[in-house]
Amino acid sequence: MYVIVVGCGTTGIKVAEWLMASGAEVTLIEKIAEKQRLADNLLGSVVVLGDGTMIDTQNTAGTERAALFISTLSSDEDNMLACQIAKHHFEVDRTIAMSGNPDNAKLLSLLGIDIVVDVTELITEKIQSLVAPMLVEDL
Amino acid sequence: MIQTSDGNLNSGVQRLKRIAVIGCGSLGTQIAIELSSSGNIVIVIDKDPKSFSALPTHLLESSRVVTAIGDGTQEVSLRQAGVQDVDLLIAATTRASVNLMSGQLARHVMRIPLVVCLVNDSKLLSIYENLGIKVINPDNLLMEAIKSGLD
Repeated sequence: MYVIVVGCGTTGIKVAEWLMASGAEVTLIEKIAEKQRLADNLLGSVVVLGDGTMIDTQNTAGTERAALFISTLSSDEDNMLACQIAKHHFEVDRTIAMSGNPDNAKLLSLLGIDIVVDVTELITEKIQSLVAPMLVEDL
Repeated sequence: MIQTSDGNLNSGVQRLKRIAVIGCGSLGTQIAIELSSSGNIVIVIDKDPKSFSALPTHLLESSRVVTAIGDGTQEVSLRQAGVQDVDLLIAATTRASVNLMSGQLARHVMRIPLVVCLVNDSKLLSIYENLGIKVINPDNLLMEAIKSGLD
């Protein structure tokens, strides 16, 4: 399976490493030259330098033959735009966007992003599950 | 698809149009001045209150232009600014992704009849026209104006 990952932050790199270890073919997109170079050295010449929210960059990365597109940028707006280009211009089957804001997560789902990972909700749930037993002990 | 025809906008005066402008940079400011001077009520929304300083005081004092501090990509901000019943929303921040998120929120969640997003990438035009958003490329317009000036 061919997968595009946008963003070489910690999440993008972790996700790409896991995908590659699982046998997927992965190309990453990173617009900051220094981060692109570091990730390219780490993962082995699979990182395209460019803005993942632009059609030209996605074209260079070969998005038209991707089965899965994952956007891990820190801006919800940018993840929305990247995924909508992948979906509507390159007709990628499945798009995944990270979202830091629960309201945005709802909007992104409504706008047709296939899977929206609501980071705030994930962290909140994790904290709740860790803290809940402590509250019981306190009683 | 877009439900309000462009003809409607230009067909003269029936009633005052209410228009929302997201982003009060140089473009947003200019749009607010033009559209309010031609008889419309314009609500300008920007995160940064300092951005409103270039708006002429006579337009603010006559409430032709109303300012609201807020994030144009958030429904709460748009509702607080009174955007739910505008006839037209123009997303004119410097970031294409912000304009397109704000525009789609306005069009598809808040059901604003006509939404225009400023985006400096003509390739995005057809994607978003199909998604019910009108996209204008300011750089292109400028280039065309320059070219026609050289002819």
